Formats: sequence, structure tokens, C-alpha cells
Amino acid sequence: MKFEIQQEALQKALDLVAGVVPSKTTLPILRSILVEAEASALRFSVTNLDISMVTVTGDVEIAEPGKAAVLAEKLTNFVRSLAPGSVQVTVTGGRLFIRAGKAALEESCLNPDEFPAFPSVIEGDGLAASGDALTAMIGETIYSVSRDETRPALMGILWEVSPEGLTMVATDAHRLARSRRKFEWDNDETRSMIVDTAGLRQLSRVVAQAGETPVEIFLGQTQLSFRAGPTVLHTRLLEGPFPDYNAVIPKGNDRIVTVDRETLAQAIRRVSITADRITSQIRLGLEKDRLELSAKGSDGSRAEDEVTVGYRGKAMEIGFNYTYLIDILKNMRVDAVQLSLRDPQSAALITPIGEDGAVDDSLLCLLMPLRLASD
Amino acid sequence: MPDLPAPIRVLDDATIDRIAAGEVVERPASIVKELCENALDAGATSISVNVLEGGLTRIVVEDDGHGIPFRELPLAFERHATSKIASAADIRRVGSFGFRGEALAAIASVSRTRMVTRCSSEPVGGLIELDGSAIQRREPAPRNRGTTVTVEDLFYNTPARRKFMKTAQAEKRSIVRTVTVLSLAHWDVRWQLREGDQVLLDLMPAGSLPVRVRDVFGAALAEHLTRFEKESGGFSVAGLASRPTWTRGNREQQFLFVNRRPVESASLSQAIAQAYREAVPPGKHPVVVAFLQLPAGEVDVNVHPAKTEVRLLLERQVFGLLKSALQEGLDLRHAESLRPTTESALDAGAPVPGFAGQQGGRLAEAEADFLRRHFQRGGSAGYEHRGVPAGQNELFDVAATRPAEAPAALASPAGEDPTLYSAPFWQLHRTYIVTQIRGGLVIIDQHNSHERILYNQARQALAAGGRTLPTQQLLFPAHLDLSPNQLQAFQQHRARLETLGFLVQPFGGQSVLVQGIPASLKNWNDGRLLLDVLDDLGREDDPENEQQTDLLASFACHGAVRAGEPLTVPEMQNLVDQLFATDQPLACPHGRPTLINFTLAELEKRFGRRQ
Repeated sequence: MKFEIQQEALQKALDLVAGVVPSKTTLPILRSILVEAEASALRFSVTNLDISMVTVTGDVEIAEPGKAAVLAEKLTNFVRSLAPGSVQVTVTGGRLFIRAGKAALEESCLNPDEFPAFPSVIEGDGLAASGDALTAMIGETIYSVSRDETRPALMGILWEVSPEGLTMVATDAHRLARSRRKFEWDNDETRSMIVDTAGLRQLSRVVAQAGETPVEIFLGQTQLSFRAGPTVLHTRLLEGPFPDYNAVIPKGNDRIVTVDRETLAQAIRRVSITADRITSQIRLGLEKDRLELSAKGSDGSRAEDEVTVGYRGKAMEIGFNYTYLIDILKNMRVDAVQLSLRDPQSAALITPIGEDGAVDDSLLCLLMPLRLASD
Repeated sequence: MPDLPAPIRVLDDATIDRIAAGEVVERPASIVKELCENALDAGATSISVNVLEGGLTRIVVEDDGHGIPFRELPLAFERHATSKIASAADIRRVGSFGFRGEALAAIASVSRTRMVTRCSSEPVGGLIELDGSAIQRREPAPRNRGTTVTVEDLFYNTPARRKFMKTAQAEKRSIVRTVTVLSLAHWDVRWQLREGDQVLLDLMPAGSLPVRVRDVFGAALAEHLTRFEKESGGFSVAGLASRPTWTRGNREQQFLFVNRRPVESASLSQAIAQAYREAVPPGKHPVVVAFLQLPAGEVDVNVHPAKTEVRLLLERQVFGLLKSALQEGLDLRHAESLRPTTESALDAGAPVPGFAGQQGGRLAEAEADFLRRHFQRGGSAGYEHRGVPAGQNELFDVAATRPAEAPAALASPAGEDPTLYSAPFWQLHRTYIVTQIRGGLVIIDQHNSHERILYNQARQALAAGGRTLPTQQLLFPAHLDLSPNQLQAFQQHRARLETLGFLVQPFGGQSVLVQGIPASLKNWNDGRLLLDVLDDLGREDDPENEQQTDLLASFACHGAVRAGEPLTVPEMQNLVDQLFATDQPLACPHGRPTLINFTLAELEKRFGRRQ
């Protein structure tokens, strides 16, 4: 195999796929990138068995077709360190030679035939969606994913695909985030699946690289695949069942608070300095148009603050884990949010308020309170 | 002839002595003890003991005390002859070691004894030799001030007793312990113990107890000892005790003294065990040297002729005093020095433990100062100067010209990547946390540590009575089916579980609905935690008064992060902070250690930087 390529094009392809290469693995071949030179295109493939990615570039002059499995780390670092310009790559006798100007790298390769067989090549068209919208939805939900390995289904994001659009839900049993968007796509199927988050994190890189091109989604039985521009990403699905989240979203929360998002977040950060380090508890006290925040440390320290809010309901107190509240506020890209409550034992709902002053129901966050210690 | 009963007779003195000797002179070590105590009572500043064959063949005790006047020599071996008390009333306030007037008589009755002594007021000394109580010789003899007692052929006239003696080796060990114990109480006295020509102990007079302890047990143990003292209600206790990081498999190295008299007291041993209960694993015992000072009237040493068992008239108070003195003295100060820090031992100018002695405080300070000036944090730069021998000050000048070329990473001015220095936590094998402390490093067991935190927090909540811990409400209430045992345990402990933060409701039949869990739990394995705790509590042999402790321990154990769980740096930081905020950071509730400490001195030794 022998080809010549511009440094920028090579680095772009390598940067994209290198994120999938596992840093720790018992299978040495997984640390490599499979490079295949065909008639007029160069294909780079990587997999960690859960996620696989393939990207193709045509900006290359192939002198001699062939394939090679090249260890990712040295190749990527070397190429990144090169100045822009032409790079010649040769693989012969199981060794890789790279030359760029006077700089050169020589490395041994692995046997490309050991590289794991890939999921079948995608045929036809998928469901087209805006890449930016998908990335935003992932960002709005992924922080709520559980880290508890005893409930693997909660370690992924639930995708509900319908003719009208897509809903993503993540929960760790203390909080829940639901994001939904309408997509005008050619789909008459309604399906739900739980998607591994590691793959979704890669999706944002693929989207960023593809630019304005819409992402095509392919629904498989055990995997979900995406095609964006020259890149295809496959990610595995997790076994369910996902809990019935609709049943836990409260309908009758009638104590409505509207508040400036940034002001609230800052006040929470301020009082959380003294919050108990184990429970992370802060206390919110509501009165007419006033929200008092306070936190008590186990060492006797205490901090408080007050923010002006819109509130007409009865006075009440409720406790929360402040890290959960911050997570939610941080991931809402709006100026104002609405907090709707029922009582100190029941789930709180947090939703963004759109520029028109109405609640934007594309995003809904649910947070279970921390019962206040009776002291 | 019919068998006539033997007529009742009054025993002759020699026989009475021999019977009494059975109590005082149990074995060679008791002779050594009696003779040494006599020497101490005589105001000796130097006591030398020489034994042969574990003392069975010969025991020689030599002192430089005030001696015995020639004319009183025969009296010294009369039973109940003593210079130490005059009447029964004196017994209650006796301050000397001997007072029964039995020892010499008893010893003489079962051996061949010889005493050479001179009283400083007399121009010549005297010699007396006895053979099983019978005086064989008594004549003037030359000697410097002091007394030498030689005891030979122990039990030669009571062969049955002799048979009961253990091997010479065992008797020797017992003698070594006896002299060791006495030397701890009397550190201002020179002690020598030899077996023939072999020196077993040679202790120069020491200025203080710690010095004597170091001489006896070596510097390694001495580094792990903490001083403690406490006074209350006319009683006082003081001494040295090992930190929970240094323990032994038995109580051999626990030494108790009441009014400087070595004693054995089951109750005081218990006080030590209780003080350390949560700090050391079961079957491990700390090293303790404790001196109790009580008014002479409060202690009854006349329980047994050997006087090693004492009866304390105010046992409860003394028990409490010793226990609290140990608890207050031993633990927290040590924990403070184990608190993680980004500072190197050099930053603070504090000499590295064990290092100052070699290098001198002034130089160590100069070094620290140098490092402070040129390397903001010094921690990683410190190694360059570890091995500088005293007197090479010019090296500092050479080095001082170097800061310009010092690598940027070492200089670490504010604003550069802070993680280089401010992330002092590493997780090893998803099980241990390694971090730097002043003067070394600690390895922390994440499970044991979290267990301690949860345990203390829960204990506090239960003790405060009714103060409920925060509950994280669950989005998806968990429905748990209980076994009959679990259900019974649940009903019994429901109120306590709620105090801990569980929100559990009976849900018909054998099942319960969990709507909330303690906010402090990292995860509760989807209900398995509660089932495990109820299983532990369902044992039938659970006595009422232990139930609470069992619940706490079980909750802490099942709720704590496991070995194998990955932790983020903030989580580790949090765990360590919380651990050090507890009152017992060095051990989990089961007494297993939470951390292991390596001092810089140890590292230096291993790397051959110091001997």
C-alpha cells in the first residue's frame, strides 16, 4: 500500500476516529486503525466492539492499493505534530513508513486480517435529522444518565422514534430529563430503544465534522447507525426495559415559580459552599415573589441567599441535592426557567421559558426532592 | 493396731516458711522480683541481676542501696520481719514495695542463700549464709555500700516443686519480663541483666520514660508511641501508648503500674481494650505503658503475696480515667498529621520526622526556606536536596543561581495548570486512594473509610434521637419482597431505618415499598442494600442491646462504596475530608484499618538515602 495525502486531510480523519480507539483493551488489534486504500479513496475504520466508526476521504493519491492495521497512538501523534504539506505513506513487509519533508516515522503494523468484522455496510437512506438538533438533545439529557451498573438500562438514553419526531429520556432514579423535537422525516414507524451514551458522545464529533449536512439515522435491531457526510458511526443498543417514565411525570404541580436561570444558578453555587458534603442538600424556602436558599454544613457552617422570583402560591420549603439542580440549570440554554412544585415530598418539574414568555415543552426536567432533615 | 489419726501439731517455723514460700516464691522470676524490689526500697540507683539456667541454679542480685546493719542480719531472714511497716495500720498507706516481711524468709527456706551487705553507717559489711532457713555462717565481710543476695539450688529441699518448674528457657523469659517491667517503672535506675556472661539487658539511667521505652523496645516502636495523661478526682494516669497503626498479637507489651508497682488487672486491661476497640482489629493489642497514681489508701495490694494483682477500691473511676486518657491522648493528634496535604514536609519548615536529628534543625530550615523561595510548592523539587550532608552549604549557593533555568513545571507559578499540583489523589486498582501527607504518604482503603463515615453519621443520627437524616426521594419507588425473617427485622427496626433516611412502607403481605433512601448513599443496588441489612438483622441470636450497633454496622458496610468502584478526584477528596472529620478516622467500625501510612523516613530508608 502506498499513497500521498495532505497533512490536514490526514489529521482530520485520524482525529475523528481516534476517539473510539480504546486506551485499555485486552485485544491489541483494537488499538489499531484499519487503513484501506482503494481505487481513489482512503478508508479509516476503528472499533471498540461497542462503537465502530468508518470515515472516508477522497483527497488522496493512491499509488498502490492495499490495507494495513496501524497502531493509533503513534500514528495520530506523529501526524498531528507535522507541519501542513504533503505526506507519503507506505506499508511494506508489515512495516509502516511515513515521510513528510525530512521528518519520518517507521513503525510495525498488526495483521489487518485480525481486525474485527464490521457491522454490515449501510444501504439506502436513513431518517434525516439536523445534526445540531441531535447534539443539543443529547446534551440536554446525557447528564441525567445513571452510573449505577446494577441497572444497565438506566446507563443509556431512551430514544423514542415516531413519525412526528424524536424523544430522548435519561434518568438515574433521582432525576429525569426529557428532550423532544419534531422532525419532518420519512418515517411511519414508532420504535423505542436504549442507546449507549459512549456512542452518542462520538456523534457530536461526527456532526461537527460534517457541518450542515443532515445526519441520517438507521434503526437496527441491536445497533443504531448514523451517517453524516463521509462518516458512518455504529453504536450498540442496551437491553431494556426502561422504566415507564410517563407515569412518574407529575401532572398536578400547581405551585409555579418563574426565575432568572443565571441568577438562580449563582445563588445555588453561593450557598452550596457550606452544603453537607455527603448529602449535598440545600433548602429552598418559597414565599410570595421570594426564594430563600440556605445550606448547612455538618461542621456548623451555614450560608444563605435570596432571589426575587415570580411566585403566588403558599409559602413552602423543599430540599434538593444542589448538584442535580446545577446540572439542570447548566444545560438549559435560556434566560428564564419555570419551577413547578406540589409539596416537599413530590417531584419538582423544571422547564425552560421561551423568548415569547411561554413554557417551552421541548425540554422537561424532573427532580426528586431530598426530604429535609427534621432538626 | 487400729489406725489412729495423726495428732494435731503446731508446725515448726521451717515448715511454715516452706509453705508460705509456695505463695511468694512461685518461680525464679518471683525471686528476682522480690530481690529487686528490696533493692529499690533500699534506694538503689544501680541494680544488677545475674542468673544461671533460668535462675534455677543461681540468682545473684546486686545493688548499691543502703544495706542492712550487721546486727540486724539474722532478723532479715525471720518471717514477718520487716523494716517497712510497724503495725497493721501502716499497711493501708504503704508506699514501699515490700512490707509483709516474708520474702527473704521464704526464699531462704527453699534454697541456699547468701547475703553480703554493708550499711553506709558501718565500717565493714557482713555476710550471712543460710541453708533452707538454717543459718550456716554469719561473719563480718568486706563490701562497698549495698547488698548482694545470692540464691542457689532453688527448691533443692522441695523436689516436688522443682519438678513443676518449666524449662530454663521459659524461666529466663519470665525473668527478662520481670526485669523489663521494673526497669520501665524505674527508668532513673541503671539495670543490668545477665545470664552467665551473656548480657540480656543493659539499661543506663534514663531521664524520662520515653527514653527508657526507646532503650528497651527500640526506636521503631518509639516512633509510634504517643504520650497521654489525665487527672481526675485525686487520681492521675500518664504514660505512652502506641497508635492504632502499631499493634501486637498479644498483650505482652502492655504494662500497668499502680503507684509505680507493676500490676496485673483484668479490669484495667479491659479499659485499654475498650479505648482501642474501634481502632484496632480484633485480636490485635496496642502497646501501652501506663502509670496510675492513686492515694495509697485507694489500692489494696495485699490480695496476693506476689502483689501483682491489685484491688482498686474505686475501680470504676480508675477504669474510666485510663480509658478516656487513652482515647483523648492517642488518636486525634495522630490523625491530624495524616491529613492529606499538597505541602511537602519541607514546605512548612517542619523537619521531616526522624530527619532533623541527623541533619540538624537549622539546616533543615534553611533548606525549606530555600525551597520556598525558589520553588513555590517545593513538593517535587524537594528530592534534590534530601541527601545533602551537613556542612555543604555552598551547594545552596550554586543552586540558588539556577531558578532561571528551573523547569517551568517545577516553578508552577499561580495560573499555570493547577492540576499538576492540586490533584493529590490517585485511585489504585479502583480500591485504594493514595495521597500525600505531611511527612509521607497514605494509602486509604475506600470501602473501610466510607464505612466509617456512614457508621458515624448514622450513629450520630440515632444518638440524637429523632433527628432524621436527609432522604433522597426515589423517582421509581422500589417494590421489595421480604422473607419472613426480613419482614420481622423490618418491623423491629422500622423507626431506626427511618431515622437513617429510609422511607419504607408496608405494601401488603410480605412486601414493602421503598420511596426514599438515605441521601448519603452512593447507590443502593436497587434495593439489595436494604435486603442485606435486614438479613443481617434477622439473626435470632441478636440481643436487644446490640441491635442498634448491628444495624449501624450493617448499614455502613452494605452502603459503603465497594472495592472496584471507580471514584473521581472530587469524590476521593470528599471521602478523605469526611473521613478525617470523624472522631475515629483510623479504623472502620469493625476495627480494620482505613489507611496505611508511609513516612518519608521509611521511603528514604528503602531507597538507601539513609541508614
